[in-house]
Amino acid sequence: MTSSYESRLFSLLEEAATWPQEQWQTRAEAACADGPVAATALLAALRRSDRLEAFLEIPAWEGHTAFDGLDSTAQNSTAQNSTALDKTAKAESPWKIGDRIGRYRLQEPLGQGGMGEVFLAEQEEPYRRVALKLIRADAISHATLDRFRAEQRALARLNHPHVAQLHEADVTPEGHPFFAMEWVDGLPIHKFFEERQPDLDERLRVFLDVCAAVRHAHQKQVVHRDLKPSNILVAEDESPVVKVIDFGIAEAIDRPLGDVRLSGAGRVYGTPEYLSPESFEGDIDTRADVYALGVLLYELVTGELPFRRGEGSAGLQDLVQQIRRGDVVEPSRAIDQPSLPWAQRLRGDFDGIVRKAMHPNRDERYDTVADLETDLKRFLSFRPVSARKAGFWHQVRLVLKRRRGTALAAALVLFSLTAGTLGATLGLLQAQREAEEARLALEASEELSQFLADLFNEADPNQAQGAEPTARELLDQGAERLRDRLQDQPLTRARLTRTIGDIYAKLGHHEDADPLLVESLQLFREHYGDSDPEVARALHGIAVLKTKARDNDSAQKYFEQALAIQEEHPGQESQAALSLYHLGVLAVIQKDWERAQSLFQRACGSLEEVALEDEFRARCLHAYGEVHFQQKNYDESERLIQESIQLRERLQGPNHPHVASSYRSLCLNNRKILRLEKAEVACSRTLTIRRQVYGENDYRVRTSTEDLAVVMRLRKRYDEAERLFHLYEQSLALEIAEGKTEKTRFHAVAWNRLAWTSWLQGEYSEAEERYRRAYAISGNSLRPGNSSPAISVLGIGLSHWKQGRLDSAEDHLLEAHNFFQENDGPDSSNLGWTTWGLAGVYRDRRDPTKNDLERAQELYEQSLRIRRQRYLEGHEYRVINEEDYQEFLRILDETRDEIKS
Amino acid sequence: MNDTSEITALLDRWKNGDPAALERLLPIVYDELKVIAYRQFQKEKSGHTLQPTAIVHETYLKILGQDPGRVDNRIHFYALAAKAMRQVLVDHSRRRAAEKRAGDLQRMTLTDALGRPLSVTGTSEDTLAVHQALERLAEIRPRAARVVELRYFGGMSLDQTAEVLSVTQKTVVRDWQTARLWLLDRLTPNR
Repeated sequence: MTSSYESRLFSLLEEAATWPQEQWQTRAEAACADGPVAATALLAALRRSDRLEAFLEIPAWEGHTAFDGLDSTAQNSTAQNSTALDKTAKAESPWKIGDRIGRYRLQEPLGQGGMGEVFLAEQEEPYRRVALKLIRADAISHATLDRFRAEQRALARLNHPHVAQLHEADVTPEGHPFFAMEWVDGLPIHKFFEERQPDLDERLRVFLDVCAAVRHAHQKQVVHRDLKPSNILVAEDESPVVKVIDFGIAEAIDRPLGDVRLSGAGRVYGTPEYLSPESFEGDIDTRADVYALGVLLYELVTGELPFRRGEGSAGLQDLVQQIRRGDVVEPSRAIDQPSLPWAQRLRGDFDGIVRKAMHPNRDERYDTVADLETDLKRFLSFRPVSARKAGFWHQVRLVLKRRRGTALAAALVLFSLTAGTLGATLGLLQAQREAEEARLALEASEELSQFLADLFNEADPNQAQGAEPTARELLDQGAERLRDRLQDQPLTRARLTRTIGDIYAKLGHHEDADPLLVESLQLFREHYGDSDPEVARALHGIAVLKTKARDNDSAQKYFEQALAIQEEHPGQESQAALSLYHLGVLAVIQKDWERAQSLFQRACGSLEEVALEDEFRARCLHAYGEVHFQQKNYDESERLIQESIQLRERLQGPNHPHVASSYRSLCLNNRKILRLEKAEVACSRTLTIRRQVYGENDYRVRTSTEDLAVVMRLRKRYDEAERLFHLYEQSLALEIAEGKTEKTRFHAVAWNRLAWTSWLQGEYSEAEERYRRAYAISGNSLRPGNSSPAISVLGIGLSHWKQGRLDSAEDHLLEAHNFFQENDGPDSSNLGWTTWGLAGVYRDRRDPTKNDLERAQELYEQSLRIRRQRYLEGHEYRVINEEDYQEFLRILDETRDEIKS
Repeated sequence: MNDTSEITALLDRWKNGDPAALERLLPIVYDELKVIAYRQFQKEKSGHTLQPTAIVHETYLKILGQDPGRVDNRIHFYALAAKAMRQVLVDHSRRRAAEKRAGDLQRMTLTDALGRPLSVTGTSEDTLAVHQALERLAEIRPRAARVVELRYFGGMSLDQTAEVLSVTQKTVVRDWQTARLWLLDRLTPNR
């Protein structure tokens, strides 16, 4: 076969394309007469035309899945649909059940992805089940492998209740990277929702857990890059437990180090429906995750994807275009009705939140996941969200939803003012007397708020020009209109004045609120006389305002007047309780415990009488309990706080921040009185709740970590204390690294704490090193107003003392001692330390020329006085002091004996 | 110069007849496609199907970033990608065939010439056979060979192919028909 033969055949075939089929025979014979192609050969080739239809028409790579990452949940490879290619691929899998990979044994295939496979596997020592993700060595490049090794350390840092923990990441001897991850026996989040059909609030709460996980990862510098429902598993315990899987794996196996985009880097990874526009360019930061969360939120709440891909290549390209343009149908309109019946609720704020999260320009997105969470939480509690321009009418609607009772009145008043129909107001306001009934009747009706808002819209002349007035403008306008009107209708005027004053107060404009509230009080008094409940209410309003302005004396005066009226009138019990509570708080501020106790007793008691079970009663019990603690009625205190916890758990659920703060009181109180087991339980509980609510790197979580660490130290469980203090320290270090330098002071405290833990374990040189570190963080100098550098100096002195470097110890301790004496006064707790330390140094030096023993005696007495005043018997600090003193007395006796003999 | 603009510049040079530019471009595209290719081969059934052109689009978007408005580049990129894709596929098939038959490539034939279209059976032998026949065709009718390359390995439509090769669609149709008859002849055993 020669080139000329093949070439000739091609030409002949080309020519034959124009021949009618019936002439093939004759035309072929003629054309082939001069060789080299035989007519029969040409005819055979031509006759294959009928088979040509499909030949090569379906391109080499037909019907493949793009963008498939690894799906541990993909268990649905339906065998009957698999093509020859699938079968080949499966047959070639390098792994099978029973294989050993590192310390894991493969048990059950969970899914197969583009780059590898996922198995359920067992680890023997210690026994646990893991999801083992194996990546085929030939699916990645060498550069990627290096990256993988670097990345696995970052992934191991993730530690969060909603992140599936990465146990191990390594490479098999054959070069296949693998990940051993926490095995989550759950459903992908969208399937979970399909099955359980939770309501909107529940969906959002679950979604917030997802956010917390992602936020945690971002704090640890890990971007997920492939957030989608199949990477979010929900296991059902008592309540749904979310675990986000595959964190950073996209990064670890795909993205090379540095900026070598040219050499095959920067490839798009992920699922296109959840990718942000910039991801297509390989330009990814945490905001890509924010975007994906936006898509996820959209999908979970509406049951629809914001953008959908059509079939084939056009479909993908079209999808990418849609994503770039970002013109998404608003969730409230896209929602799958009627199976998800909350379209109405989504309109406005929720639409805005999703729009902001999914903005095609990442600078317009939420900067951080935390911002998205904040808005969602606000949405859940009917507060204005940042995603939406807070127009006045919108705020009015929210206020109405949030506080239907008072807001109804406020809305009616504003309506009457703006409408300029003051004549009609009286009738409207009489309805306010029945506000409670009206509230009940209308509570469920969102139409009411809509109706009112619409009325406003029609009535407001500014609306027609397109500009919404701000609340402040409208209030000022209302107050202005009121100034000269209604002189002949004092009662109406009083109510309107009070309402506007209340709104000013709520908005934080105390100075504007004050004269209005005072005027309304005056008007009510003139109309009803001095002892009407309406007057009490006005007094109460002013008192609250005074409290906010920190004018405690005036506040007390007003509360007392209000209380006097309320107590005369049956039906005013809960208002009276509120006044009593406020008076109790004022007494606490004055540290007048006895008065506080009696006030809280009355407040909580009367709430119990009227069988009121609400957050206010819980707060009252909590405060009452705290006062008992101050008076050393520890059992009673604990009983009351426990009662408040139970009430809060019942009202707000077991994981509410309020529950956590009650537990925290319980912890700190028990710690103070050395009921350490109880303290540990309560502190652990606080920490668990706060971690769940706030994520890992929150100051409240930090505080609770430290609380618990101190408990553990007091329990002498130094390893655990050390671990917790380290967490505390690292969390601070992270924040400081992020530029929050104001936390430096706490960072020094953290190192002081760690140092003391070392000291207590007899690790004096480590203690010294840690104290020096703290001192360096504080700037290596003592400054009034900040005791922590002085404490570091004290600690260095104590460490030297124990190492026998007594003169140096004396110098350091004296430096700290003088500082505390000047800055903290003669009985300060810190002086308890320096006096004790100095006494110890003198005791051990016993230099007769320096009167060491006499000085030690004096100093021990001083330190013991301070310690006994401050700490209960058995407290760590007091114990070491007392033991040292005993030792001193023994030495003293010995010395005397020596002198005698 | 950033990556994208460098790639764009290379594309321009290649388009204007600089073969060295192609040498620098191919590895980039090849690398991308290789990774995608593995995903294809190890794929699971997920209901999302994607045409080869979409794979090329994906690659294109990755490598050149946005700006699909640069039609000129896109077209040439697709041509380049088809070439790279062919290479990927062939390399993979070689390896696979080697595994299966210990390198006995001589006897490769069209497995099912009379039945289903080649790519549906999708065996490594088919791909390699087409590839080898196509190399031969390129010697005698380079344009026709490119048509097949663009259509079969690049998944391009007739008009896209015409655009890449700067010929009329009629020409493409003629080349396509003839080339396939020619290939079929070559690939049919015992002809």
